[in-house]
Amino acid sequence: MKPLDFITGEIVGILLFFIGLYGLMTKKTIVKTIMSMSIMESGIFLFYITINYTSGSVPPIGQDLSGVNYVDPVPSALMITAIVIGIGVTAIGLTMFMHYKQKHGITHWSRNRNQTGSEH
Amino acid sequence: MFETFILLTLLVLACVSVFSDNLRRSIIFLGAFSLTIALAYLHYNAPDVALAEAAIGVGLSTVMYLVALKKVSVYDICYINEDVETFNDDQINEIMDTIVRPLELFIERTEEIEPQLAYTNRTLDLVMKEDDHDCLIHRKGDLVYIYGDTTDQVFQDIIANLNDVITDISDIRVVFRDEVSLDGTDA
Amino acid sequence: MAQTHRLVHLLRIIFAVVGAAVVLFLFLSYSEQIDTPLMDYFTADFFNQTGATNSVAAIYLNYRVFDTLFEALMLMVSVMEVINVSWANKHAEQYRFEEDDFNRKNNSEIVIRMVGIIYPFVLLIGLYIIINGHVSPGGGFQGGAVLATALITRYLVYPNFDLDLHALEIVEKLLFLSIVMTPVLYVFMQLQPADTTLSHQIYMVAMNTLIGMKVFTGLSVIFYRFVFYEGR
Repeated sequence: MKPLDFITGEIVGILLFFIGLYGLMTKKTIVKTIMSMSIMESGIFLFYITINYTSGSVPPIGQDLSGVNYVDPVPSALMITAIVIGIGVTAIGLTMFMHYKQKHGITHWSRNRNQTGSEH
Repeated sequence: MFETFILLTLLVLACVSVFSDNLRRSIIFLGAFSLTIALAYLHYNAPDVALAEAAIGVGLSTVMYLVALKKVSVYDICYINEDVETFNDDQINEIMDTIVRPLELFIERTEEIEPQLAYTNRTLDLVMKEDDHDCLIHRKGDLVYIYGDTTDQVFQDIIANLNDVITDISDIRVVFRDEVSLDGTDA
Repeated sequence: MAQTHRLVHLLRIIFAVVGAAVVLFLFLSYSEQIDTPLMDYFTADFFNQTGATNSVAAIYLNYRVFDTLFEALMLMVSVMEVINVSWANKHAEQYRFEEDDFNRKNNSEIVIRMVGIIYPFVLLIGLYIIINGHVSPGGGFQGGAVLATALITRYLVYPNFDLDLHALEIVEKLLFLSIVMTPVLYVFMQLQPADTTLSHQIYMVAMNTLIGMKVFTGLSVIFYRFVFYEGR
């Protein structure tokens, strides 16, 4: 098995998830945390989309699909809703970030927590 | 081949956008990442998801990140020199090399904030009263003063590492704004 | 201090790498090809049952319509949260821009002209994606997002706060109500005029339009609240 064969969609999805997790653990900026979360989300989406993929298939669109090798439409339908929810989560995170910056001057985790937080 | 190329590009873009020091750059890389993952969905025969990702991930969320970054996450530095009538390029270059560029680098590396710079030749009292800058650099003759708040953690870090940050000028005086009265009598 | 910090940093790296390795090992060693009963059930006779040519639309509008309902609920909750946080202590009227604040000098002429040309086409693409969601790739979510990006291009040219966001918000809630009501009446209670393909297709188009309008209003409220947060 050649090394390039290991680069399939599912494996890359798992790796993307862990790249996002690493960013979530190490980066101090709040915006970076939100970005890491959306990278994790993308990894999960990629994993789901490729979970039942066979090469040479066609999109599941058409009146009669019998005899055609089509891909699984269930993960697509699930992931469409998940993407819209993902933008909602991103919007909430960024709004709360702006709110914290305005109210308490926080742009980082573990910084200025008890210094400027109580004054404003 | 196409699949492998796209997936490797995805990994590289994700790594760059997570590990990059500059926030604005990493946001742009995240947009490129979203575009690439939309291509990957298209390759895996999920055109509906690709369409949603292209509209939402590339268009909306990148703009939202940029708006949020523009609103808040800047460290506001103001450079004041009352003796100069108008700043020309040579002066700005000189200031850049001696003070601003090292300070920017320091802030980006250690604090992960975007510095934003303003030059002015108005008087110090006016600037302090009217504007709300995080850090003021005031040049009076040969002396350089840095004004900031004691509660500002970033400013504390800058002060603690001032000798390493700015090596060209040895005589810099630090003034804490909230400990000194604003009458102009600095310590 | 620096020593322990570096140690913690190293621990985090090791944790991420080991976690990835363990998950990859488990995935590569013990993954098995599982059956696809859902896929077989959903794709067996979806055209006659739901009237959709796009099986993804058939799933999220007919078979698994609960997903869509709760997704719309999530979007509405996030819109409410954004509005609640950004209007926390002041009233909305304070953020209204004066007429004088709008000056075209900040915008480049090229952007204004090009966006003026592109704008109707973006609207057209969005409406096309919404209306044709059940026969081709697309649907309510995608079309609504494309329409919202059209609104963003409008903001680039004309950065003014003249939209009535309050009305948009009320429209969004009414749309959510109708999004809940339509499948409940049509799919769950089977109040169909006739069990024909045409009737199903009319239901599909109506649902896609409602969802598209809902996503459009929700995302535009989020975006405009975002841009005019504190009105700076």
